[in-house]
Amino acid sequence: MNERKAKPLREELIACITLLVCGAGIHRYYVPQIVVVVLGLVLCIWMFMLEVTKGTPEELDREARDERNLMLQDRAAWFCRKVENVLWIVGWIAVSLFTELDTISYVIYWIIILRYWLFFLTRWWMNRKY
Amino acid sequence: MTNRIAELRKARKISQAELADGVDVTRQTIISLESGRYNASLLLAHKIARYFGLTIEEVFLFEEEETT
Repeated sequence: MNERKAKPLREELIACITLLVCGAGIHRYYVPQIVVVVLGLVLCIWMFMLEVTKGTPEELDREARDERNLMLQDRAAWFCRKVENVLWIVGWIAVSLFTELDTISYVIYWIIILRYWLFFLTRWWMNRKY
Repeated sequence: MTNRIAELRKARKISQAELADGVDVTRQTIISLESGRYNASLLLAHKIARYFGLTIEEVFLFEEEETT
């Protein structure tokens, strides 16, 4: 009997911890090295999770289709979007008012614009679809 | 909304995992339904009722004062 099971929550936790560990040691590397290290770690985790969940395609499929899991993902995504909006706007105000990093201020402003437009257009498209 | 899933399942000596397999959801969803922390969609309610050979109204009990 195969006891290995797919657990989306555990996989997401592992990804969060990995990013945190990478972030903690990030100052020791130059930017290109950071990209290589992070991508390498992500690849290792992906291969590890593939091995862990090997032989459980039906269960993986069910986890992906499970309505409660989908509801949790929707709510988590909605909550994260609201928090991200606040963080981007606070970040833009802070960078614009308290630093002289004009380029970064413009980039943040355009990211905010793109986020809102992407959300609006996605809702418009879904409104037509459903 | 309350439901009789745990009662019906125990009466028929069915495990949560077996019910989950039967209606194509995870066991965690059955646990949440039984504890009343999660309300099933119409589709899942239909599947569960059909699994027990009952109607939705016989498995899921709606209360008049509920607004959602």
